Amino acid sequence: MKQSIIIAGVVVALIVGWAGGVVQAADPGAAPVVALKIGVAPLTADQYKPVIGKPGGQLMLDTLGEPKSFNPITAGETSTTAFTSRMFQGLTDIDAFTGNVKPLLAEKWEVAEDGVTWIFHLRKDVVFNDGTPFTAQDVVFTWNDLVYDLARPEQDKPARWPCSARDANTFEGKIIKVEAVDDYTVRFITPVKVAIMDQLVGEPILSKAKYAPLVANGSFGGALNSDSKSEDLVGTGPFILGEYKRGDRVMLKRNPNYWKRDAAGGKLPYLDQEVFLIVADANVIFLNFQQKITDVYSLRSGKDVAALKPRAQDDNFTLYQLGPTQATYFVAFNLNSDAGAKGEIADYKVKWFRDARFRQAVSYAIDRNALVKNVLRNLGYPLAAPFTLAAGPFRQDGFAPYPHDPEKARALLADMGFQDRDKSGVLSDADGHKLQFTINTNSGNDIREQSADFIRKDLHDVGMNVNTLFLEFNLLVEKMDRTCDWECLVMGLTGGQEPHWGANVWKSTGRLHMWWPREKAPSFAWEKSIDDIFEQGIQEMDKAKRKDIYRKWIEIIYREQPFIYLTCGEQVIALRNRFGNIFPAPLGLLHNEEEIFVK
Amino acid sequence: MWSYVVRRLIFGAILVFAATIVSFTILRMSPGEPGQAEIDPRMSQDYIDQQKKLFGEDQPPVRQYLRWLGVLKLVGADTTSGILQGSMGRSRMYDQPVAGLVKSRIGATIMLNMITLLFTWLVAIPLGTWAAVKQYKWPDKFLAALSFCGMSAPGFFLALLLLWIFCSHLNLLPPGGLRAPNHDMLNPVAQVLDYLKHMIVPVLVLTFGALAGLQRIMRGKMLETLRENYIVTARAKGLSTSKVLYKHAMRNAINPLVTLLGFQFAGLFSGSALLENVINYPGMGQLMLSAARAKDQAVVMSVFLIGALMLVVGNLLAELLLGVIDPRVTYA
Amino acid sequence: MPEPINPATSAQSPVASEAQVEARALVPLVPAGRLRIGWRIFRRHKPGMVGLVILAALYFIAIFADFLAPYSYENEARDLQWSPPTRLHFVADGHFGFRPYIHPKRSFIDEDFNIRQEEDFAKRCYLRFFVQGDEHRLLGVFQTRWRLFGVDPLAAAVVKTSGDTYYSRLYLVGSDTSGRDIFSRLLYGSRISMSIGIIATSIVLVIGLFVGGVSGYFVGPVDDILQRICEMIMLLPGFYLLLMLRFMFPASMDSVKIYFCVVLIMSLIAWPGLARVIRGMVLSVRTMDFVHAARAIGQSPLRIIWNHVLPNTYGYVIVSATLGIPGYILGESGLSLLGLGIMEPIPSWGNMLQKAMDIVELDQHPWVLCPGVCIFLAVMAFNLVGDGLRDALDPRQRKVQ
Repeated sequence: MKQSIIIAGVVVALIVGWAGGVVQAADPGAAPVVALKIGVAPLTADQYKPVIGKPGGQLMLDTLGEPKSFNPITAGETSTTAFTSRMFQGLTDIDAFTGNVKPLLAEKWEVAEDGVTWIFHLRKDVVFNDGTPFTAQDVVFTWNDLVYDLARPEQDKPARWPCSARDANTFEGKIIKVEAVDDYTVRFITPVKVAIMDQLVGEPILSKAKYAPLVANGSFGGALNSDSKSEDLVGTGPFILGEYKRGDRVMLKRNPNYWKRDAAGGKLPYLDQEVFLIVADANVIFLNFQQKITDVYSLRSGKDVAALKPRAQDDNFTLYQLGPTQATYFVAFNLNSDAGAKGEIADYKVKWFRDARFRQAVSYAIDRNALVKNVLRNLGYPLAAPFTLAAGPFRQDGFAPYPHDPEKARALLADMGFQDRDKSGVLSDADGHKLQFTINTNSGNDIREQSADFIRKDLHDVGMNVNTLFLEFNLLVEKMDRTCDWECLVMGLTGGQEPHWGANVWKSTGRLHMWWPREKAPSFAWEKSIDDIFEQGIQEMDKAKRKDIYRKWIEIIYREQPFIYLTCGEQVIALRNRFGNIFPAPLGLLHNEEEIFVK
Repeated sequence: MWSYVVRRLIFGAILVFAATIVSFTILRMSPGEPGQAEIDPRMSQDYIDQQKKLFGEDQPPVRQYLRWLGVLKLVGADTTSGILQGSMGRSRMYDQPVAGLVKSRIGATIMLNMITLLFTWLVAIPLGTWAAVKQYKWPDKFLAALSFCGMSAPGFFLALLLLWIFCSHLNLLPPGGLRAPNHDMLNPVAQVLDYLKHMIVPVLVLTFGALAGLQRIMRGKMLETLRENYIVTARAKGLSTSKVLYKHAMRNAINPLVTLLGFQFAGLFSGSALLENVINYPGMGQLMLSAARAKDQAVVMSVFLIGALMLVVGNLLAELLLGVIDPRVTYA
Repeated sequence: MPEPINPATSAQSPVASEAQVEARALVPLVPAGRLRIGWRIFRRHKPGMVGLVILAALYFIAIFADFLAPYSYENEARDLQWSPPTRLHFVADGHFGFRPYIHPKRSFIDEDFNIRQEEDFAKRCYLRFFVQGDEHRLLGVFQTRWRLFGVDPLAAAVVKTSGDTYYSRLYLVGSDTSGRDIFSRLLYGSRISMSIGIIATSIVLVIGLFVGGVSGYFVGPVDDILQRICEMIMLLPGFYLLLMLRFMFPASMDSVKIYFCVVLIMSLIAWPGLARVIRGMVLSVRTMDFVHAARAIGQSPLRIIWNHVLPNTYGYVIVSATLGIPGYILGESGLSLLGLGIMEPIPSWGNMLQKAMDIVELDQHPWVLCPGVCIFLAVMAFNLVGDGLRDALDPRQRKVQ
């Protein structure tokens, strides 16, 4: 299930679980990391051979924070998707071994010559968890009435409820036309060529019979909230909501009407229930696992490996080492000339930041190996750009992380005109402004806070006077998004298989275009290039050509360093040995949750 | 006397009301906007806008305050219930009614503080008596030293130490929280034990800290009482030591201490706040910190209100008890 | 302690009701000149003297931290992360000597991801006194490099034996995640804890004495209003108020500003407690003859308050101030522990304890608990001194002998 894999990746990112591993130094410049074997390596697709299991048992996990709602359409937070991804399904899913799209509710699909007409042939044996059959009407209903809210009474007003998928499925203001050809065939007509349509249909499908009335009376936006009961959430997923006890746990139980069967025709899922303990602290998550309360744990850094590896035998669990994670994190500078002109940030600073040499100097100044060694305790790798380490169809080779070269950094700064004019150790520019700025990052994230401290010291060594400031997450977002009065950030992004998921970040007009949100027009030539790449990439249907298109994007990032990428963690997950049908894949461990059973 | 009570009650009500204004003002003066947005690049702007509207954050501040208070509903200007109607509003952070959040946590905090109160008194009184009886001998000195340690040791440090020893090393105690995952499946006795197991560390730490003061006060009062004439008379009469001690001395010594109960009641609510955050105990203190971080207006103001209410009630109780117990005190 | 912020009222109730105030007034005052008597009594109080010695040591450390600490608080040795305390050897070639030394060491992460150390037993780096270490400004004025002790650096900058880099560093208590000496950071951290108490108490004293004096002297509407304000502040839940006030200040501040902000907030919460008690004392004094006399002469009310009335409160004030300081120390530590106080890289005992909250770190490097011991020591010292002072200066609270 695609969502399951995103969850695996996001769980990792959330708890900042990293795992140690092997690094192929792609470039002689990178410091070789000793090859370490920590756990079971991921398998390949042909090694995935599930056996027949027996029903029974439960899986105990942790979740950080309470779910705000159970509505897969309106809610975009990970606290919600952790549960809705198990209760609702889309037409397709992502294969955990290859990263390619695989069928789920749709059996097969094809795209016509014109590139905009997609026909999806649905499975005929799917039922919702209340027993009602799943047909094309439900798909059409979900897209037209829930995602786009075409049935709203006042057509000139905006949709009656928010939907994060709406933005992603609107192209230059035009929506996708969705219609049923027959009971088991759906046609999607996209306004422009959309290469990833087969992924976009992974949007969870809801039951028309159940939710059409809510659309009619306009109350869908507040429905499926955290007060919902089991019968209120009608989807096709393997689990249904059992019970949600505020502050305590969320319990999902087996969907008795789940349509998928195992090879012998037996019912799935095997597990009776999955219990998610709600915790507030990463510490408690570790202790819960150590005390054998929970069954699975995503390791944060090398210190967790040191703590857990010796106990694997006695405590009856296994460590699985799945390779580099999808989540990235980086240093970003404020390149917003408008903000500079308005005075939100000192104008001369924006001018410094906008000079590529400055950003490259910072990149050379940062000691990524120390970050890997001290912050992650070797459970990670230095990172050059996104999509360069983690496995997946868009992975690009040949981008080595910037080496730690303070000399080169100083040379670049000197080139820009910075000198130590008053012998204080801090450089200043030609106008006498001292080279100082503040790095912001969100508090409560140990890895980011520590990284910010290390970076501060590194930059100090090349003559920059840097302060670090740890802010609450929402304050940080507000600074970034609205007031634009920040100078430098250490920030992370949840990963994904597909570059286009980051369109909001990379396109100049994007809302999350961090260094200049909602820029009216690209202010650098390379920004224009990126805009063009994203425009092109989404419309290019050939996979190999797409990969090449996006490679140019990585090349631009690598050269211009709008985001100065830092490190990438290694995923290591600990799981109790009593479960069967465990097949670690590069994109997740529990991707086949419905087949997991208790031995 | 009753007019005094009424006056204090009215003053208390005004105070609580003022507390809400103070908390609201402080919240408004804090930088940042309420609400939380995770960095999911796919999240749309209208989702964020729609959330804002739902929580009434697009309205001017004074109106928001009155809305929360319930005044707007009273005069019919808004349909959302407020404090005056008994609703504490809706949490931005958790997207659920504040009342539900508070309900699930207030029990934990109050239980913790009440057990601490009980323990403190159960232990401090006898210890104080013992110290007074054996004045200047080794029990007294030992208890004095222990009291000092209790007063001086930072609670959070002790808690971390205890957790480290008993949870991480000896695996005897659970890592935080209030209940074990399988709590519902245990029989009632096991359930009670489960609660106790989770509360041992915070109760121990809090008791150790509070014990010191109370024990020394008890000792002081006991010493005073033992010098009184009627005690000397009783002993001269030939009453046994223990009878003198328990029947006469202790009872008279405790009397003035009872007023302290009122103040400790006041502390029932906010006393454990820091500790809860350090050891992950799901009480009001933890709720307050996360709500303050996320600028969750409704939660912060409601929790503050409850805290102020408890303090007012507690202090009133203390004053009344003092009036009842000490005949020298009169209320104008 | 349940409530870390209730300084000026230590063993007293948060709200001194009118009833208690009247009860107080029934006890007679002791004439002035008792400060001298008090000192003599205090000197005989052994625990108090112990506390005083500890305090003197702590303040000495705070002032001369630059000189006493072998390394600056920012001096990193990233290759030596999480080193245990360095072993000091006294035995050289089988003889016990008086020249202690250490072996240069290197740190590496083994295959089980444990951090291990290896010492180069061939080389010795001797401990020396009065060495040239990291640069600092002694007392903020003298730029110098003298430090009390340190170990010899290696002859070559670092020693490369078989390609590995060894370092010569003395970690008395151990090192942290970027290889900074925790002992040095503890010494520098004492500055925050020791100074916060004094500054906060000063502010509280100024406000509390003034408000209490004015309120108690000018009974009537002024008194009523001031008392209501005091009650209101005292009836706001302390920790919650602290949290909220802290969030009110913009987070875009450096540590110095945060420091003053924290001090300010704690003082704002604490002054009403002192003011109430001062008022009570002033109430009982204002009816006395010498006050009448002063008024008859025509002295201005403020002068009367300052010269005649307030001096009678000093006994109590000194005791309560001393006993109140632990509250500030604990308050600042608590805030720093939660990440709301002093930030990196400035060391404070509270923010150093943050590492101890991570159970895995605590398990593997128990020396992160040391700042807690320091806080304990400081608080205990103040409590001991306060207790002794109470015996000496404030006869109303003197224990029955």
